[in-house]
Order: sequence, then structure tokens, then C-alpha cells
Amino acid sequence: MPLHLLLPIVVLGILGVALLLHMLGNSKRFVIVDADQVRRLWQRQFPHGLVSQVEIADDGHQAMVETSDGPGVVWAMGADVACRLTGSAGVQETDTGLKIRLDDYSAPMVRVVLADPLARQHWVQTLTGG
Amino acid sequence: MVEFPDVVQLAVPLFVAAILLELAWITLKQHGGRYETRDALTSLAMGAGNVVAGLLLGFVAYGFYTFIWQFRFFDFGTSLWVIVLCFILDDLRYYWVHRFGHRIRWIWASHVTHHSSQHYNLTTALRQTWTGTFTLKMVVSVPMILLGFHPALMIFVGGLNLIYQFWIHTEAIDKMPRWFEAVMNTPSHHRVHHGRNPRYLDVNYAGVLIVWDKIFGTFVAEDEKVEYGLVFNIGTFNPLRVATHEWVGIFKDVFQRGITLRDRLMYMIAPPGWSHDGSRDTSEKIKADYVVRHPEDAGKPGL
Repeated sequence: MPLHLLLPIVVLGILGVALLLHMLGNSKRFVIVDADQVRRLWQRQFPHGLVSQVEIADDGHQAMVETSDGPGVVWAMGADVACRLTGSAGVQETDTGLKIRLDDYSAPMVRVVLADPLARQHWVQTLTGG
Repeated sequence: MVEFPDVVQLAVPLFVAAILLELAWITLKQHGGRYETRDALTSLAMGAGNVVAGLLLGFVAYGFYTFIWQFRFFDFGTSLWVIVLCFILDDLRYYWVHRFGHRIRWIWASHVTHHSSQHYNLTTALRQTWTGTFTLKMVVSVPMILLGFHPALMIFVGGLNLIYQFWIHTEAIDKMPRWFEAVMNTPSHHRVHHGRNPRYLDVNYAGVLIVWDKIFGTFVAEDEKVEYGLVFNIGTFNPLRVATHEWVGIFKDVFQRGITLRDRLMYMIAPPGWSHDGSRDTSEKIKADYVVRHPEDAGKPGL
């Protein structure tokens, strides 16, 4: 197929499908409902990890966990979730909460929505061991 | 001069139409799969990037094939029967390349892209590698070319194989007729292949004919709900990171301090999950650990 035909089909096809998906309501992010759900999600990724404490962010799209392997974070990846131990992550305050920079090329950054300054402080202390 | 159409490029409009059809089906029926905008967008971007990579780097594989073609034992030509035979033998080649792709980290670094979605729909089929050329998996085609199958024919049947595999990336189809499920790769068989359930790791490598898995002992039927994605799911929709994350992982592992030359080599060629200090889990370890936690499942296919 000549490029001048293939290119518009690919570009318009991608944009069209993305727009249609969004308009059909498929852009909703995963919402964490409770601590038990977070524990189940964590153990899907870390079957041996024991979660002792769970803190859920204001918008329900992120949660911090304290586990037998150290602190970690669970966050919405579209309609699904990703989980990481935070290890040597850098944590930075933002206007809306926190930005966690993970030392992981496949999961570089997590934004956490936290309005309460005390909650932010607790997250920072837990995640950085400070 | 032997020439065949670029069937994959020709099929692009069909891919788009089929995605729209599947989306309409799921939306109207409220079952048969699920779509998520950013996930689908990433998959489609990976597909487009794969085409671009083919345009930019396709000459490497084709040049290599043409070089090998000089040393052929026979020239089988391009009759219909030769095309059919080539398609079947190429499907056997695909089985082994695919199996290597899951068992050798260097090749997995390229193939992992295809498994990196937690969804399973027709866009997942298009979530293809940008780095296939670097795996050097083209060497697996050498025996067929030396035997007498022309490089252009090899690429043609490889394209047909890829197109066949498009439609099996769906949850909208439950099971095909029994005779079809027995011989052909189907949505059900391939869902298993995309599962991160311990039982479903490293099974059902088939492209078109599922019989290869049955012959080589890697077949597992779908009998528990499939959880899609990677053992360790990625946390990004950035196509560049999706395409390269395992290569970056290999680089970090190989160039870390304090390990032997053998360890460095093993980080490239050992199965994914291998580590010099045993701190990570291969699929064998994941399966063994699962059996310890679920002894009632011991002996089930895939464990």
C-alpha cells in the first residue's frame, strides 16, 4: 500500500478509535474502594508480601502500603493498577499532593492527590523512611 | 524476480474495521471484553511504530535472507503447494521463535511489548515490538531458506501468519467448534498464552496451528479465568518506555558491579526472571511457589 494512503489510515484510525473510546466512557480510571482491595491487589503482584498498613489517597486512584518488604505504592493505570515497592524513590510535594519518582524505568512516576498537609507529611515520612 | 504483496499493510484497514466492530459488540452487549482509552492508544501506537520499524529496518532481515539464499540446496519456486507447505513450516518456525521469545531474555526484551497490556482485545494484537531486528531471531529462518523457500515467500507467509493471529486477540469469542479448537490456534488458546496466572505462564506458543504446542508439550487449555498482563506489570503508557523497558533492564543488570562474566551473559540469555543471586523469580519458580500455596492444584496442566 502506498505511504500516502497508509499514513492517513493509520493516523486517522488511531485518533478515531481513541476519540470513540473516550466518548463511550472508556477513560475512567480505576478507583480503590478499601484497604482489603489494596491488599489483594498488592498480593497479586507480590504474593509473599504482607501488607500491614494501607493509606488511600483523596481521589481513590493511589494508595500507600506498608509491607513486610518496605513501603510501596499502588496506583491506577487506566482501568487497571500497577504496584511498586518505593525503595529509593524521591518524593516531592506538589500543589495537589505528592509526586513520587520511582527508580524504575517501566514505572517512572506516580502523582498522588492529597489535600491534607498532615497526610502528605505522613506519606513522605513513610515512603522515605524519614 | 519473486514478488508478493505486503499483506500486513494491506490488512491495516481490516484491522481498524475489526477493532470498531469488536468495540461496538462489547459496548452493545456489555460483555466479551473491555477497552480502556490510554491502553488502546498505546497498543495502536506500538502497532504504528512496528510498521515504521519495519520500513526503517526491514532491509536488515531481508538482506540477511537474500545473502543466505545464495547457498540454497533447492529452489522450490512459488507454486500454490509450495506456498501452503512454506506456510505450515513457517508456522513451525514461528512456534520455536515464539518459544525462544519467552525463554531467552534477549528475545523477550523485544516480545515483552506484546504482553505488556493488562487488557486483551484486538488492539492488543497490534501492540507489537519496535526492536525485533535487534533480537537476531531471523537466524531461525535460515534452514527454510537454505532448503529452498525464497525469502520473499518467507516474508509473505510470515505476514499471513501475523494476520491470522490478529483475530484471536479477543474475549468476544468464547470457543470455536471442537474440531477447530483441536487443530487451530483460537481466542481461547491464545487468551491462555497472555495470562499471568502461574498455570498459564510459558504455554500455548502457537501462531496458527495449536498442534505444535500439543506435539511439544506446551499446551494448556483455558479452564480458569485469565488475568492478563505481565508477572510484573509496567506502570507507564509511554510507547517508548513500553518498547524499551526490558532492554534497559538488561543493560542495568549486565553492567552492574561485582558479578562474573558468566552472570552478565546469563542476564542476556537466561529465561526472564533469572538473577545471579536468586532474588527474582523465573516462571518455574513462580509455578513451584504457587503449588506450595495451592497444593490442591498440583499436577494440573501448566504446573
